[in-house]
Amino acid sequence: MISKKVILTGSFGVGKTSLFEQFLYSKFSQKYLTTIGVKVDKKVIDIDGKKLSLIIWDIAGEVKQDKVPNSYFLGTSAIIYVFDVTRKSTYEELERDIDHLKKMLPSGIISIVGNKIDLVNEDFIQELKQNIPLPWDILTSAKTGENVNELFLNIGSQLLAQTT
Amino acid sequence: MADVLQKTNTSISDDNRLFEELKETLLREDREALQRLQDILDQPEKLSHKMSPVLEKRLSLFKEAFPKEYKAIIEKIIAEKLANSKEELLEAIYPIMGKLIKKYISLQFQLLRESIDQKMKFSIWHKIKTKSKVFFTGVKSDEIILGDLIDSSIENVFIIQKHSGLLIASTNDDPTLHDDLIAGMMTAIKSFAEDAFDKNGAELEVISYDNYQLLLESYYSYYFVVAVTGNISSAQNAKIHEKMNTFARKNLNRNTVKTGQFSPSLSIKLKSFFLSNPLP
Repeated sequence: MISKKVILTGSFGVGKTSLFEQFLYSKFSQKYLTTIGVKVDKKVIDIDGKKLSLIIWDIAGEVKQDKVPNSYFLGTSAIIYVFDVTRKSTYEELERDIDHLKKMLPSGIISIVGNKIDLVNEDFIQELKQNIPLPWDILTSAKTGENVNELFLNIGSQLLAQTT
Repeated sequence: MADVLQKTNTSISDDNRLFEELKETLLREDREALQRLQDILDQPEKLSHKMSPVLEKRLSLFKEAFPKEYKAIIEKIIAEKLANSKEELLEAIYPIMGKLIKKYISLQFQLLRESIDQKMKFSIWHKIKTKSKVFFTGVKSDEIILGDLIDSSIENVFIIQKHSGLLIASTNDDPTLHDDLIAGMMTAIKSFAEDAFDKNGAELEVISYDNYQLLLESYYSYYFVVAVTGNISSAQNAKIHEKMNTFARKNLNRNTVKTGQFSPSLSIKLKSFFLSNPLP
């Protein structure tokens, strides 16, 4: 079975850990996240009969991505950058953060995810689309589970496509 | 008319002078007393001489009365402070307690060593056996005896891709032990420690907790983690590192771990190599 390391990052309070837990079957202790700033968990997904093991590193929220230790990004195949659609402060530095992540992972997959869509309506999303510095890849709700599996399956498909 | 006015002025002037003389006479004693008081206030030695007995008396009264009046209040404040600052308190006493415990354990070990030495003096066979071990391994006799007394063993061995934390091989058979997650968290801890404290590219080599030691040996693209229980001697430690080097030389290269995939065949070899024989 193929294993890939995936980083889940973004500002604090955007719902990374909730996304992670919505998707994952097993839950590892929360205390690690506050102790060393990262929590590692695993999810095996099935894509067209092929099994892929995602080792997901949930990084504690930082206002600026360059505060995350560089070594955490080493050996990573994909980065999921999460922002909160209802909090401008979590996406106003999006361009700068993604530039930084591209330097950390020049040839890997970087997915931009807007979370907490259960709190807004379609008009809000249309307005956000006009104002956000970079387009998102997917909008999710960790609370209702909307698009959460799709997010990870999409990442998994891209990772499998890279290996074949 | 002018004469009358002059006489009147002379009379007022006489009255003023008489009034001043009277004032001087009546207030002389008060003024002298005030001056003496001023002198005392201006000279600290004199002031101290006068005030000390009074202050001492008051202080002694305060000392007597304070515990009675304020004991309950102070006790309540301290109790509240302790309840609200348990972590601060632990932070403060931990270094002292840690030193005391360490000192106590060292002392107990010293006593144990002395006791063993004493017993060994009467055992010719053990004496010969230990001496030959000392001769061949270069390890001190007390370390060998302690090593004999405290069982130590290799519990698990993991080979982990260096930066991704992906598990390459493991000796673990216990399905409740999530070795993928252990590999990930080990790598996170290793990265965190090296980022936080490293100044010269050094790498984390050992993690100790309770009766366990995790020995780490880093290579270019992967690293070993050997989980050991019990107290291992420096000779055993060296032997484990030697085993890691031998296994790496025989079975691993950059291509083996490049893909970051778990290898069941490598895991079988790892198990056979590390767990089939007890620690020397």
